[in-house]
Amino acid sequence: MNDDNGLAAKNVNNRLPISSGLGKFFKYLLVWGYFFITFGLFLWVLMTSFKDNSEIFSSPFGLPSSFDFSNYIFALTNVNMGLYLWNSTVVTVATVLLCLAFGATISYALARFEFRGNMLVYILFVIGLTIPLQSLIFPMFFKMDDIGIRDSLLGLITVYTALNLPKTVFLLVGFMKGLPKEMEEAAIIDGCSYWSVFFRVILPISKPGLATAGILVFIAAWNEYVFASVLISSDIAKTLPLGLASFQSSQLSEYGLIASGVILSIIPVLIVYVIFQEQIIKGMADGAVKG
Amino acid sequence: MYKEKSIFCFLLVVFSTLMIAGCSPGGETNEENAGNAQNSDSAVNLRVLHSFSGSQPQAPVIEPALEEFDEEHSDVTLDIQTAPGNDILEQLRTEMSAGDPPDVFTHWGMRRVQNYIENGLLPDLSESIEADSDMEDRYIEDAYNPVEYQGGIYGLPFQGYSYYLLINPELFEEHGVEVPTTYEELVTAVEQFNDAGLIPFAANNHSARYMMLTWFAQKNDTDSLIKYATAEEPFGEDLRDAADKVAELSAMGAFPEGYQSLETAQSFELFRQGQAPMFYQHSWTAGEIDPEMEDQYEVIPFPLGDQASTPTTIAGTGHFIYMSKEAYEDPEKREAAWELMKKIAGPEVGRKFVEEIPNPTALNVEYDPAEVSPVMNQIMDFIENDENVVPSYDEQLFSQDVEDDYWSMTDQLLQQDLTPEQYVEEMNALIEEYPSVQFE
Amino acid sequence: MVQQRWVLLAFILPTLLFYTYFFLMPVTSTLIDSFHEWDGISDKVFIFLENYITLLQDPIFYKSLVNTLYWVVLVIVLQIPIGFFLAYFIYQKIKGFKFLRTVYFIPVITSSVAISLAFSFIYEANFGILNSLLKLVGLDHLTTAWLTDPITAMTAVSLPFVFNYIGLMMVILFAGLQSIPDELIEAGEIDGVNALQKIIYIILPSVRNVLFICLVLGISYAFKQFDYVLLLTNGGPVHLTEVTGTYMYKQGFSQSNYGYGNAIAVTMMGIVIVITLVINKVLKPKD
Repeated sequence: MNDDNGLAAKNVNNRLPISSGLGKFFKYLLVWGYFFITFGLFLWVLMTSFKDNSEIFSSPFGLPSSFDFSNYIFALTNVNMGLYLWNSTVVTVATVLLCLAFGATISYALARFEFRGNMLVYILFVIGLTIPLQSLIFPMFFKMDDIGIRDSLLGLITVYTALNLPKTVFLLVGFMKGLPKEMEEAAIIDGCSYWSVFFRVILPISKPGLATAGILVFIAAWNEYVFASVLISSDIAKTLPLGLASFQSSQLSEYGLIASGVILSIIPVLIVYVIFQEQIIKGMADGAVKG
Repeated sequence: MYKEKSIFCFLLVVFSTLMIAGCSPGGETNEENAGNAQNSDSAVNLRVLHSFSGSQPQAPVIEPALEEFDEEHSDVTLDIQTAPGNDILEQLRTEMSAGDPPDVFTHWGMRRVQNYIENGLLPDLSESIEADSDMEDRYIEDAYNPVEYQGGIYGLPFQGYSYYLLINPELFEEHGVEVPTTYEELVTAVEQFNDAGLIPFAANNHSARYMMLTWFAQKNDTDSLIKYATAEEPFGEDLRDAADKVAELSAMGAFPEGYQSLETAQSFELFRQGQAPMFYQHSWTAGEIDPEMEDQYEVIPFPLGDQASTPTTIAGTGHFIYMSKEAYEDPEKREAAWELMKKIAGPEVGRKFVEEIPNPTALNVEYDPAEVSPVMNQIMDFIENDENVVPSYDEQLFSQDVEDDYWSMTDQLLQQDLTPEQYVEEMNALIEEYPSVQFE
Repeated sequence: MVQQRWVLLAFILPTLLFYTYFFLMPVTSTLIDSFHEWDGISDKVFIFLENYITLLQDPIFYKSLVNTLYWVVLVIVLQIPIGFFLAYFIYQKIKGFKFLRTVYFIPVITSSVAISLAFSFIYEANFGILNSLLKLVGLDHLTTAWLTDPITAMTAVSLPFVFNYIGLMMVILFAGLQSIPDELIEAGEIDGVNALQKIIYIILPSVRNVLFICLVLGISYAFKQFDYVLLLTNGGPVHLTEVTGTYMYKQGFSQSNYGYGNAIAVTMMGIVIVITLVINKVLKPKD
């Protein structure tokens, strides 16, 4: 591979050259080695999802003898993956929106106004950040049961929103504190109320911060397993990670089926990610560096 | 202006999503039930929790039976929830903790319900059983044993179990190995299969434990097994010898690599794929055998430990149906729940267990051997005719606290963290601390 | 002024009430329940510090704590360094860097359950990818049951966790690299330092703030994520791969020892808070 890829690349290479042979070797070993691990694993699971057990046993690395979609059909019909996919989508989208709505309002107040107790409220959220969340499993279970929404999507949304609020508030307060005040002041002089300042000025310019927080919450909610496994018992309210975990049980050993479930759970996020990857990576980075 | 609009759209989405979430699947169940209850004012609503759904081998019998009951009884509405396989353990426990138990549920015997009985969460059903003429001679001998507690009976049995040794005769022939009848012959067979590059036993830690229990049981009858469980007598040489045998087999490579963490179905897969010639397991696995392979397998007697051993089959009743205290105290619910329990623990379901799943049943029931799979016929033959038929400590007789700990203790034995002598000592100490009080 | 106070309340109260009811109150009840003996069915019995005293004498708890700290070590010696070098090389805009970056991030968006299942295929003793590969290249003697062999089990169960978040570390560090001013690097060029010196003396100090974020994030994940263990080995064989998370979970939900489970939870809370404070003190980024 040639390092000289046009002018831009040359410039950057001049900034941070890795010149020694050993360095180069290390570089390509890591960059492509990690690539092959990640991509290879994905491909292997994909291949496996088209095989049945005897084929997996006889040729674990070979291409599948035919692209047989029966594992996928079984997963979508008999194991209800379609429903779980829908549940996961509802829970995740609602959690992200709720977290942002709750988080943005309080962050605006905390970042922009001096009032008694400001610091105290902020610290309450920062403490929440350090608590290992699974220590809340027991009380969350009993609380949800008390108010009667334990075994429902609404219960999951509530729990996920509560669990993700600390980091949302932490990120957004940090972000909003760094915003310039001029536009806001101009708006107030024009006679806008705080609500319209919030909606017209703060929310639009906070987009990168909201995006970062939203993505982090999205990933957390989409992939959450432990709380869901404790709270949800009805099949009708199960999310994707729960459905996936039930593939591995003492009664089931269809490896191809498990593989198809893994692929089914990755594909939707992968599509979203590939479409938005520029924004996601940029947003994640901006938010993390500033927060 | 444009921006403001987009923000309003955003908020609209937030709130409409909330509305959707509110009425989406999770929420719907409740509404649906409320709706059903209103439609027929007098209907009794029973919440049922069972573990036989999805890919469970018993699902094709249990699920239709529940549906049938729902259709036959217009005055009863069933609200069915499922927690497949072992998931029901934690599911039931959390619902019990939250004070919101299902009206009717399926579960294992004393090893999983002792705590509920002692805390008064399950009603004693012996009066209902006595008052109901249908219940006379309905079940096989000792069928109630795992749900008897200090004179009371707390559930109705519907599933039997047995351990069976399945072999693939083709592999024995191919490698010129004799079918073993004693432990010594088994050791020879294991060596020969190892040399041939096969895994002798398609096993996991459960299989190994079952093998130990069987060698132990070859020298005991039910009464003596109870004496050990109640700490009336301590374990001695017999258990040590049995423990010694499995530890030795484990050390000589009779089991697959990493067998301690294999799921049962995963270990069975090795047998099905022809990588292992022998398989010793719980009878629920018989439902997983491919029908076209049935003829090519054979069930054989478990090899005898030594000269003093009696040919033994381990069998008993393993699954029961219960009703909660709340349901029992509500006369209408009690009647409906009782009918439902009788249906599930009834002859129709019992016959279908043997013929269709196949799985041993807890019921005295006629079945047509021609309808039953070849492997199941052989299993039933052992259960009915073997010289010594005793229950398994894994399923019954031990107290719940012993059941909680003795699996991992046996794992330590197999892992060689404990010598057979230490294992016997630790078992005695454990039982001393938590003796079975079931039969007092 | 009066109007402003009302508006402030409207901004603060809904979130604060929600947060108090659904987050702070559960935290408090975890704390309170840790002073009780409770099996979830009988009545709660107040036993004050007894759970904590038992905990201090519980060898399995120490075992799980050591295993959890092992994860923290893996974060420091594997996750962050690999993430850093990937970011550093990608930053040099090697051919196809956008594609590589996309692929590297896939594990981050994949659920821990899916990752665990994929790794269970890798480790499977009889046809798994790792043993098959070893047999393919004639290293049969190295094959083992990765998840039950006492030597390999803990590492095997940890790798999915390390793998899951390398991409996240990479993206954060990548952003940090981008914000290094050109002058700084050019100044180094004039001094004629080699590549390694450049990384140690120029690059690393300039991304110090970002490294700090990665460290805090990594450690909190190490204490938080135990689904891999739950799904791959459930802490077995015989507590070999137990981490604090699985131990707490099992005590609470499988053994019905809610009080004890909560005591483990509170202890973990304390440990994480202390570690965070220490890192904060030692590495606190200078503005």
